Amino acid sequence: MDVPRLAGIAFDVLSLSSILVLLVLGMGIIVSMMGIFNLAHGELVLLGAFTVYLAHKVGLGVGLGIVLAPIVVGAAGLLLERSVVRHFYSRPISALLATWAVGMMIRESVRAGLHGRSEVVVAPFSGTFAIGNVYLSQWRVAIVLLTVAVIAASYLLLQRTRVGLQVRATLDNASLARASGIATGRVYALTFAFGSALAGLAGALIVPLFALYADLGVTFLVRSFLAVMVGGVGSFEGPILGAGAVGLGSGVLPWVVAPVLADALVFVIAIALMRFMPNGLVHRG
Amino acid sequence: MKQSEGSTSHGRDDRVLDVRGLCTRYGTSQVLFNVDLHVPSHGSVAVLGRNGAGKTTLLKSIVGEVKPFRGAVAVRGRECTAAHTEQLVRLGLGYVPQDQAVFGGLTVAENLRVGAMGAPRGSGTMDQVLAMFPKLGRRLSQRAATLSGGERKMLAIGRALLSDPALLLLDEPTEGVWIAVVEEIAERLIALAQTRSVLLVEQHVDLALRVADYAYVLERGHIVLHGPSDEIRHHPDLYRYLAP
Repeated sequence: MDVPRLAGIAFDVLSLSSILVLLVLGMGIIVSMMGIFNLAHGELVLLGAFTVYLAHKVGLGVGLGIVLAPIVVGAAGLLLERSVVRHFYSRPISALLATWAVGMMIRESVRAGLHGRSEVVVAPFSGTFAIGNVYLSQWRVAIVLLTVAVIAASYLLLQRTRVGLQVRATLDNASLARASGIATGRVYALTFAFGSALAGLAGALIVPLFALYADLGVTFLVRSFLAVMVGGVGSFEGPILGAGAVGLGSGVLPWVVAPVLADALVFVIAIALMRFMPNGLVHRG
Repeated sequence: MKQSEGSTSHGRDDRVLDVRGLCTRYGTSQVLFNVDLHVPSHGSVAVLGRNGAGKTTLLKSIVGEVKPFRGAVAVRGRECTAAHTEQLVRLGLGYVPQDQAVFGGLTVAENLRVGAMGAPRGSGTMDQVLAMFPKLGRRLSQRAATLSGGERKMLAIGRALLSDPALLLLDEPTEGVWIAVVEEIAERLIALAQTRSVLLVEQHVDLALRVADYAYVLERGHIVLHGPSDEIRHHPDLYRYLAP
């Protein structure tokens, strides 16, 4: 295999991993802190994509739509947490069902809004540029760079700010956080809104790559779930590494075996990893 | 000294904590039965009792971790039976739980910074805590999970002190601590009790009665004995109530 082709594959892996990182960062932090899997996470991604579509339709432009998406979806996440999720923190199975139901309502509402069709949303800028003999999609490069910026900003927020310390303390020991004067209910709500905003941003960034259709979020939900489990719950780095691992498998394997078999292999490898590393790649003991 | 439930000698206006007729249960199993307990504004109180007597449940009921089904808790004259734990911290309660009393994944410095977040009056400083527990000063960047048992207890007390509480509730502060360190913690607790109100749950009876000037004895969720520490220490029934 020649160098440009290898570089192309490496970039595809990086690009796919970046998308997965954006998708799982919010999901991972919610799972780690609240102990629940938000099955509406995929639909929050869809809502981000739909926000960009609506912004484009009403003439605000795709660029402004991408800025608005995390704000709109963050607010929706806050509403979801306050009205539904907070009642189920001690009942994770009920939380799964409740968020699944909410996700279905969002998905079907979007399907109705799209009249069952799929819509193309064009990226604010498109085309390719060349590095030597390797041609890279400008939008995919933008996604990679934005992902790096989001990871860095999230890390700094968690490590260097008062709110971040409250979040980490609550994540570590919610009962003791309350005994230290931290209003954990508010921390949960803000964290859920933040995780939702990241999902919304992910949806806004990926919609130019995949088009907008009602099942867009579902497509990524299973892989995101897998990435969180592979990476490990309870740390900031875990879901990122998990997304990298799943992205690597999903990006490389189709070049080696038939795409259908590659998809199955990713799941087999992930399940094997979870069997032998049940706490994930990063375990905070 | 009283042999049964009833009010103490503390005046009602002089109480930082007033617990009246507290009843708590887990599911269908009642753990506390009409507990009356008071802590004066300038004084320290110990709660004694054998394992399973309800001491930890009493503290959890006071700080709102467990909701009592009957009775009332007032902090500095304010009724707060239904208040959330974090609200009680802002009212002036500091709480050091028996288990998992530090944030293991955070550094020592971060643990102390979290403690300072609950400061309603803002006068608790890290320097004061580090002067009280100099060992912590040498471990500031170390993860709390890597500390020894004694250091964790010191950190837990220091974290609670940083909110500058009017009343400090301590649940078994010497449990699991190496015997040589128990005395070190005891000295700090005696010094602490001179500066603020303390409600102490402790298995070491001698230590508890040295720190506190008033004591209650719990047996199967009932207050069976209470009075000044000097009198409780010599009460003929004390060790009958405490014997395992």
